[in-house]
Amino acid sequence: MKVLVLGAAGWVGRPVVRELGKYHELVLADIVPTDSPHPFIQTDVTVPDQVLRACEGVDAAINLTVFREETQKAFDVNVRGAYNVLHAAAKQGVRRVVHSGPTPHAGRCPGDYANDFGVTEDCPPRPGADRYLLTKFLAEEICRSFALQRRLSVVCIRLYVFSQDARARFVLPETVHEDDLAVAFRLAVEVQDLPSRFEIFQIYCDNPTGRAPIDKAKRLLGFAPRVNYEHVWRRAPR
Amino acid sequence: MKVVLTEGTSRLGVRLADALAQHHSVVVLEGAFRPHAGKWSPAAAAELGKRLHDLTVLVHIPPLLWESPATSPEEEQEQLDVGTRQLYDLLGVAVQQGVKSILYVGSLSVMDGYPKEYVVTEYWRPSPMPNSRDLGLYLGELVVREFARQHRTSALCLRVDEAVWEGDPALVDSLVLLCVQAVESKPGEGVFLVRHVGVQTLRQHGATAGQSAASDEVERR
Repeated sequence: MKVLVLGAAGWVGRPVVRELGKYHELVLADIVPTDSPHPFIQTDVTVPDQVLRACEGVDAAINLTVFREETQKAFDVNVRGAYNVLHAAAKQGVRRVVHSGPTPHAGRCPGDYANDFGVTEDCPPRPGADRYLLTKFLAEEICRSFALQRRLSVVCIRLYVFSQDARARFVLPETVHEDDLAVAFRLAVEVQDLPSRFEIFQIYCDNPTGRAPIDKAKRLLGFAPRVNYEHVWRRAPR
Repeated sequence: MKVVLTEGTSRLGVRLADALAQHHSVVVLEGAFRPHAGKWSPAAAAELGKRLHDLTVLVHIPPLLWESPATSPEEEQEQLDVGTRQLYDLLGVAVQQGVKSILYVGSLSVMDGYPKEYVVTEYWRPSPMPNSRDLGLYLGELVVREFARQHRTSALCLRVDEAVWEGDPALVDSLVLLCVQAVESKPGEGVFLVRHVGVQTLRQHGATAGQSAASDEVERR
């Protein structure tokens, strides 16, 4: 399968490229060059023509692009960029789009899920007005619209904190090791029989707290994280 | 109270501004939230802050209501920016200035993804078509909803049937009345309400003016 990875030079992009490169033909895209041996197309996700060109002839596209720090650019990259990717994918006949973003349950605002357990993909998103969480949530809604109306198959991967070398910056149940995360993206590209054209999966480590279950990813993607919560907890800085 | 109205020279804005001005202090913003309005800057925020100083209610009439779906990639980008980022910046300033409630005049086009023969109510999940105009209007609703939740303001979204803009002028008069009642209502903090406003609703409302604008409560956060 020929897979386009947008945002390939980022923190999530690097492990995803490592994992997918073992199984698929890759085309990498980012606004900055990467040092990977795979074919690379310099692409600004906010420029529709560039995204359209990057999507040409690929079977699947993974959108890992993100910007958090400044409002205008956050909306440009996270909202308009997502629209550009989906629009281009629909136009170029891409069979699967995998979108990524933070869990909109992570927002800290009135009515949030801070003290809840069993928070699944089906819980109504409550991102609050945080520009990062909100823009990525808006992008998910764009994904839903394209999936339902343009008959694209779209998988949204929700993540929150990811760790490298099993060292988490925060000890949260919503942590996932980067290698496990990369496998989840590969599974999202490869999975055939999904219940609908738009599916959301939260991808975290296997944790005993019951706060944010990953049962759906286990059941439908066959996701089986190798690094569990106990491992992250023991390795986290005190 | 002080009411700030965007798109005040639009076909709805002019009449709504006149109606509100009978009992309130009205500030009309025109052109600040349209395509080509330019990039946001601290200076622009400060200037807007002066105009929004001490406001009680923000009435946002999205400029996308008067536009067709974009026909070029550049227009698409502008429509998405107007519907989301520019509204986010506007609400940010409004919150800083202490806004208590927000009225968002949206569109029933956010339900266009459902077959025409379906009867959709406020309880149905919106299903906008994937074009920048309808998505911009829908995403704008979500921006308002999340600001209301985060900052404990109240917000009402009126999803207006687009046939209202093309038909009988009395329908717009009835909509103005509905908007005035919404501005003067006092829903709870952090409450986001949605009401569908079709032609039939406005005909009935015109005949029974005085009912609460926010009678159809669908989402209480």
